[in-house]
Amino acid sequence: MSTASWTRPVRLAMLHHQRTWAETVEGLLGARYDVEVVVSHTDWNWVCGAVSRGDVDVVLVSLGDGGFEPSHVSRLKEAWPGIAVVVVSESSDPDLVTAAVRAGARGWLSPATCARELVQGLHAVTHGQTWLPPLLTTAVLDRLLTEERVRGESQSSVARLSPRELEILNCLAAGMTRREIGEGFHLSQHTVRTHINHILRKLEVHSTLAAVSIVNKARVPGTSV
Amino acid sequence: MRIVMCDDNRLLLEALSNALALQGFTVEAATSTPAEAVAAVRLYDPDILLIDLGFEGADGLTAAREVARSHPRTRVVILTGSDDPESLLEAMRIGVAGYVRKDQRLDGIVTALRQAAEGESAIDKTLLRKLTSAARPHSRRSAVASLTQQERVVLCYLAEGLQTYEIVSQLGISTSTVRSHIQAILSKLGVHTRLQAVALYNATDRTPQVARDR
Repeated sequence: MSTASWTRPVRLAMLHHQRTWAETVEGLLGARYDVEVVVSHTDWNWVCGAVSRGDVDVVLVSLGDGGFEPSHVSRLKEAWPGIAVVVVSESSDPDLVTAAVRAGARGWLSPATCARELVQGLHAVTHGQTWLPPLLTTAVLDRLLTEERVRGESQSSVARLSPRELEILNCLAAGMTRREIGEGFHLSQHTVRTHINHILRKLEVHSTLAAVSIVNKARVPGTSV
Repeated sequence: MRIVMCDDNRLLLEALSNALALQGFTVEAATSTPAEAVAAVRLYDPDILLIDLGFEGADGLTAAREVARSHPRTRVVILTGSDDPESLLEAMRIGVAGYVRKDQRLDGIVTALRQAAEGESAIDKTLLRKLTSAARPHSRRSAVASLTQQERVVLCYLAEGLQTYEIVSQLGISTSTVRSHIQAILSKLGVHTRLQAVALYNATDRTPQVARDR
């Protein structure tokens, strides 16, 4: 993207659960030449409606503390992959930030952010940058890397299973009973029990719950094995 | 009208002070910690302190209490995103003039500020109902039922926002009689302020109706 587009106003949609915020921040940004507020509202459907009519570069979403959820970020990214999502939040919980980043958020604005910094952040994310407070970035990276390591270990454990054993473990993870699994695969109760015993031995655990936890950790969040 | 604002959400602080200025208010100071807010109140002697509740390592209510004690001319209006009834109750004990929620429209906040500046109470009605419905409706209802006919009439006038002297002229009884009725109402309902009594009254199922006309 050319540097000339820095001078084009960022077209912004704002979704904030506090009406006072949505209304007054819209007024504040409305006076600026470098941002064009397309919509600012408390209602999810209302904002999505405006975004679907096009001409939005960034969606700003309030997360946590009575606000929206990381799943809303995912839904925005699924529907409009080209739009950057930036979060405003009172929270600085690294788990929430990590969840938002994983859901596809590319910016996180703390309560200490002023209007000038907000606009800087908006322009940055439209140019592919990630805009997180440095301290939170450290915590988020730590979490993502730890998850990555645990996932790697779990995946190599799961790789020891035969295809049928993996199928059965996935059924257990989905909450199916042994009887349902037996019926589903046309296996006797005895055979199902034997498969499960093999699974436990190969994963070096003592309960189906522990085995299920390993297969869940092996999964990339938001997908199935 | 002159205002000192306090909120640790910088964007909202900026946006709201901008919006209030456009509505003709004079924002003397936009602060982001309760300590700064108290200092700004001493410095500017504003009509209103508009303050949030939740701060990192501090509490808006502490500042509200401090201002109510040391600078009573400035009326305190709480602006909060929380709907915690305990905070509302505590704010009412302190005697704040207003309590508004951040899911309010700007118009609503402007109205609340004007009411508060004129000495009226501007407590969020929805929260008030929530507070009183949480407070054991059964025993409260019987508490209201235990009031005498005259006390109920006085409570009814309080609920309509009448001052003591107005009730005096409405009922044609002496000021001290009205005061003692109010004392009796507070002690029978087990509350400390008129505001709390009114909140209870509003949340109570009022049958049979109190005759408002003598």
